[in-house]
Amino acid sequence: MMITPLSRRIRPVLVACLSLLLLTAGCFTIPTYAPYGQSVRLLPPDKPAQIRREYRTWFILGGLFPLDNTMPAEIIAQEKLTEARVIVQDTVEDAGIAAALTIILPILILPQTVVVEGNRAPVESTTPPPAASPQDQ
Amino acid sequence: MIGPWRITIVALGLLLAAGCGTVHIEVPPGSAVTLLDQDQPASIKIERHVWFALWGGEPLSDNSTLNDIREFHLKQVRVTVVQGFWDSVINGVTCYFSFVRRTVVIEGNP
Repeated sequence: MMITPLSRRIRPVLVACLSLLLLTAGCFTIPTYAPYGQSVRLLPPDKPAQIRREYRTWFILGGLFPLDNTMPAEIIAQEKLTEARVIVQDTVEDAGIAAALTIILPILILPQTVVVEGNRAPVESTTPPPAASPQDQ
Repeated sequence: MIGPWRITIVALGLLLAAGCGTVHIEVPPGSAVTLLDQDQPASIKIERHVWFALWGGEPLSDNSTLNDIREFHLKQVRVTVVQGFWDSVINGVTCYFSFVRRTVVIEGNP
């Protein structure tokens, strides 16, 4: 087959576009559920949260396999949250990291930022109430 | 040998193609909704796509679970944010025009 100068010019562009499409065609799944045996209420947006954990969860091979598999349920269990809300973000930093890592190491590593905000159950006081003095009796 | 210009162009292309987007998993104010665990059954399943413009900077559709939970009167939910195969294929084309999409799956019981 004859390769004309035009197709010689177009071919690398097509290859680059297809490569970019493949490189960025990442899939991922971030489920939010309660840890086993733990009752967790979802928080409305206006309710304040005492605890905020922001972290990145990592996927490899375009999201086919999770690298660390840190999902919100794990954070909810660690922090013993009884109320929580979750924000799944794909930030500009995540995009930058994915782009940089793809150039350095083309194994399609995808980071995703997850924010878990919530409150723990109020701690019940374990100290006994002060004993009544003899004068009070 | 790949020149620095080509690396820069590929990096910019990758950045352009890598869309962002935020999905909020929250409930309407004043409601009491609990999270289901991984295996608990759910009678309702809502699956919808969330579109963003400006590579995720501007949500074009509702990017919160609040209205779904209100509309279906859900008392127990489990939410999954997915970028599935078709999202990736569609994003692969639309992201060059700044549009990206995610899929949100809400499972729950009223």
